[in-house]
Amino acid sequence: MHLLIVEDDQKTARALASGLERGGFSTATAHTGEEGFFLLNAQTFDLVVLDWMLPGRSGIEILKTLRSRGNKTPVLLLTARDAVDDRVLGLESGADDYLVKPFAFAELVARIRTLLRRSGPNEPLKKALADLVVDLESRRVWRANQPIELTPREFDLLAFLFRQPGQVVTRQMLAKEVWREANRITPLDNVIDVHVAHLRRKLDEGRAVKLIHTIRGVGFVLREEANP
Amino acid sequence: MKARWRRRPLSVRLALWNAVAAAAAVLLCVALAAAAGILKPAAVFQRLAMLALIWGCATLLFGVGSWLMARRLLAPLEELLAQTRRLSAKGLSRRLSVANPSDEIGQLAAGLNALLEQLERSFAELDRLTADVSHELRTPLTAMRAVGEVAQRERNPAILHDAVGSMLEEINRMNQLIERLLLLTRSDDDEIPLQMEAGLVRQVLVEVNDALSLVAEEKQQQLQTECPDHLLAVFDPALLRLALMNLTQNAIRYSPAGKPIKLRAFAEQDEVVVEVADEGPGIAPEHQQKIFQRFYRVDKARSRAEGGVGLGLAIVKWSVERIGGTVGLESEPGRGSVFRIRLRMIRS
Repeated sequence: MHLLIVEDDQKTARALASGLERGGFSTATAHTGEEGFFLLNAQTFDLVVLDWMLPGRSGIEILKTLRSRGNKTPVLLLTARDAVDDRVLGLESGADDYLVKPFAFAELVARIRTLLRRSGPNEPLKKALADLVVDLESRRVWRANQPIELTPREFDLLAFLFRQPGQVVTRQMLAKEVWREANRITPLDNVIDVHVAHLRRKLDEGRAVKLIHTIRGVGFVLREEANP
Repeated sequence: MKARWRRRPLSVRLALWNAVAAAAAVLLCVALAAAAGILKPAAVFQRLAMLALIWGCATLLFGVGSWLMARRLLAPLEELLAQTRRLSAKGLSRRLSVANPSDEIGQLAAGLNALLEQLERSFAELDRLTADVSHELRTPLTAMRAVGEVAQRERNPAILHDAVGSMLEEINRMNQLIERLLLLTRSDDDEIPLQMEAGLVRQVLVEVNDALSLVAEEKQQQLQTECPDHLLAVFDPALLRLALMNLTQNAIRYSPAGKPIKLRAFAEQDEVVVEVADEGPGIAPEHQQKIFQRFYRVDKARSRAEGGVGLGLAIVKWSVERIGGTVGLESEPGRGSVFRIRLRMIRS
């Protein structure tokens, strides 16, 4: 997967590029609108990470030109502006998704994967990791063939973590996707922590292989890891 | 020519206008008298010098008279001008004074004074806010710097990893602070679109209860909800939930283990009252007025340790007022606190 990053802040651009390359993507970077536009015309990309505020041509202008020429490459717009009008303008100009700075890198990766997956095959309804099995249709969970009782919220939480095993999920993503809280400032961090703690108790307590892990300062991740 | 004329003081312009008007009036009188036959042309020519003298004197008299009068009338205005020139952004505590407060100039001064008062309050608020924000941002920055400087000399990857995590936590905190502050700043301009609708109060209470009951249980507290099924009010559900989430989380945070937290809603005359009551330490009377202000903290060290950024209640007040309600506090130290939201009721 080949991504184009158009971001004028060199430090951010470098961090994004190296992070995404570590995540298995190949990247090209442009620091100005003109440069980005030139690269878009010269190469084919699977997705563009586009900053809104750029010197020269703004991200929105590039996006509009791109769309008016029939280019359908998915575009993830990055911006420091989060007023509702800006969001609407961004999406109306042809962006496929919108991420407000400062964002967690984990969330960027999750959104990129979602955008790339949209055209891909449907997800299976039964998923497994180590000896944990989740049936998304009947909403049942087993660990080592033992059924585990989860509350609806705990199940949603687990299902969300299962959507991207191995990828870090931030509290903000959980608030939005599992708690359906659109308002970014509604205080949910404690709520999420308590639910994760409960889920962990039910899934991992007393087992050699732990599946739910906290990444300090970022969020949570579902992966196999033996207890040290 | 026109520009030069406009640059002259009002008194000079008035004097010149009046002088010209007087000259014209005298000439007109002479012409009329001549036309009516009162003044014979021969007599006019005989007394030309005399008439010219009278004409000149009248013009001069009117000009000077108008000038003096205009000066007199405009003197308070000049005084006002001199006073406003002495004002500055930092010295807004001065007020303008005039001799006669009831005439036009007096009213102008009163209007300016009201404006000054408003400006002074805004500037003071801005100063306070800037100081508070700097302080609040400096706290996580100090922590990050200390952690970073120690980590730089560290070789153990596990400790390094932990240090980065700790710095990320502080970054999240700064981010939350900025987001909340931005919301409050924008709200001053009423930029946030409202979605007011008639809704069941119970619905919001149940949502808050569902979200927080587990958090309360962790502290061995019991969250009790009490609300009639059909209680209707007009509100924006997201904003009411935001207010109640903040109030209820505060109650959980500050009350000791084992104490109940009550979320109640009921009708009272034409209003719907939503209460969040705890049996925590309560809030002393001297803090009760100020507690809704941005960054106001009763116990500074403690609330920060509990993870607050000092904006929760400011957000509560903002969101409740935004949906047309009011929020108040009744508290007695040692007995607990009751935060009360009042909304307009709809009779079903």
